[in-house]
Amino acid sequence: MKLNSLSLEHFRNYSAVNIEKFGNVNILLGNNAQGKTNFLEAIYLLALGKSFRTNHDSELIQSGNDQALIEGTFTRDRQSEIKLGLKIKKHGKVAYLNQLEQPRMSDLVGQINTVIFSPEDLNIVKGSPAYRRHYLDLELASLSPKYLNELRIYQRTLKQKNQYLKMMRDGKSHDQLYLDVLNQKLSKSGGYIAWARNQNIIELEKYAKVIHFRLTQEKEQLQIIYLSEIRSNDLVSPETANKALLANFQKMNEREVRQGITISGIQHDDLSFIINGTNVASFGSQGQKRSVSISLKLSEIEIIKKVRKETPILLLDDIFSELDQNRQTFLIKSFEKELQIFITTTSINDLDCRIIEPPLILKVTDGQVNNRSKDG
Amino acid sequence: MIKMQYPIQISKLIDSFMKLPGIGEKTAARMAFFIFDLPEKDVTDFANNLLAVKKNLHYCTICGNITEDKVCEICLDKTRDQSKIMVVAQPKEIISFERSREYHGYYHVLHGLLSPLEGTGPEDINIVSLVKRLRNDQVKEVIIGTDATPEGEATASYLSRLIKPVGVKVTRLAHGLAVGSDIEYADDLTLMRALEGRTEL
Repeated sequence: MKLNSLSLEHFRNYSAVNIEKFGNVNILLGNNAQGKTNFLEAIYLLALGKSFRTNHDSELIQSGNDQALIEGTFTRDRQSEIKLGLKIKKHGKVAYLNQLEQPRMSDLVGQINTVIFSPEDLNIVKGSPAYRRHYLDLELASLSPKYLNELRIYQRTLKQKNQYLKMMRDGKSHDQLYLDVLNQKLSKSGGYIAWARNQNIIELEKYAKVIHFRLTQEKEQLQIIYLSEIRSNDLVSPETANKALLANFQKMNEREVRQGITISGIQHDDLSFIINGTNVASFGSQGQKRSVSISLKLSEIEIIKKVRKETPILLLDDIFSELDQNRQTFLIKSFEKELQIFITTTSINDLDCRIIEPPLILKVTDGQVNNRSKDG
Repeated sequence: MIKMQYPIQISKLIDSFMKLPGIGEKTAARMAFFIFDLPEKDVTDFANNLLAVKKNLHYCTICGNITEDKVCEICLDKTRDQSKIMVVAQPKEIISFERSREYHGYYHVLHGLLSPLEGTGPEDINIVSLVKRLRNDQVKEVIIGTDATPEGEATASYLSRLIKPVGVKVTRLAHGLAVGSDIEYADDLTLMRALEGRTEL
């Protein structure tokens, strides 16, 4: 998968930018607050239909304008070129595929694949359980439309149930049959979600274990553990997970009605990372946490390659400044030749240029992008 | 600085238009000024039509459809198939099924779906009278025609668990590919549902 050309109109701080040609390794060079990350964000938006930085579409539009436009042409590994477009208005987005307007944003999602490395990746290890769940959900949703659908049903039904439990507590309604139906719906979606999460974690661990072992010069054994109220022997199939979850809801029913809120469920799930038998989040060093997050991200590339049969485009947002020489070298070496990479950096010296093939250097200054290699 | 304000009549009319679904303040203002420019006869007709809908129409005491009389035309039609009742959320959905001319049973309108977030619990939709209608032994099948949304599905499951013990067959409308559509253009979710609901040939 490669990005061939990109044009931006009134996107963030870009008035109008049109880049006709990219290399395999592209370095976006510039001082802070010039628009380097905005450039990566545009590519990310074409891949996933939403930003990794904001949920407010209006922030994506250059101030004083009504809409922003992102267009990119991509070549997939089997050579067919596609053109993706995204028109962002203040109250919503419209996706275009080969110039044709698509009825749903979801028609855009999954056309191209990206993996983003950013300093925030550390939060996968260090951050809250909600952050980790979100990370897991995002990764799964981009690989499976069914997962995304079940997740939406679960979240919506959970809100309905919590509201109904409140109505019951306040004496406004009392219908155990309806509560049973909601529990049954939650268990069905939740069982599928828990099963899929567990499968994904097993897969993730398989790759991350090997990568992490190499990254740490064969010193650290990484384990990833899925923390869920559903026991691991019930996670073997969506059906068994469904049954186990339903039993939990039934067991908790009385307490849930009394307290007016859902207690059981997969909305509390979490991940735990173990190195040589010790929990990294609680006892690991900053460096270990960073290594784990890099191992996870590199595993993501492998999973995308396996599931989608396509190499993703890598977006590296200012990560080299935070890595020591060993990790930098390892990271660059692990990117295979066929991967297309976009790197933002304030200084070219941060990058070990001898290792990567001659990069295309794009100088970013105040919403302008100049191809420096042309200037000589 | 003098602040320009709408004449009171216009601003009252704007408020009225804003009660309609999907109408914001700007559209409402455009409509209000448009009304002012219309011939008086058109406006009188408009006002009378609005009143007539409210004054002359009400819900059918049997099925909940909209009717001028106590009981709607469909419920009065004894040539229909007595063994089937189709459950829908809104009266306008009856029109859709009637247009297809393929369904000849009776209907039942819930006037909403179960959705606590909108304040609608099982007591707030038209379920009690449905259960009463099932005491009639001639009813053999209830077809649930609610939307394929989480609320539509939950309402369908609720009704099925409520009705099945009475000994009446409960069926759900199929979901899947639109007739005359290309599989190539179907979205992933529709394809998934179509696959789940596949039938043997």
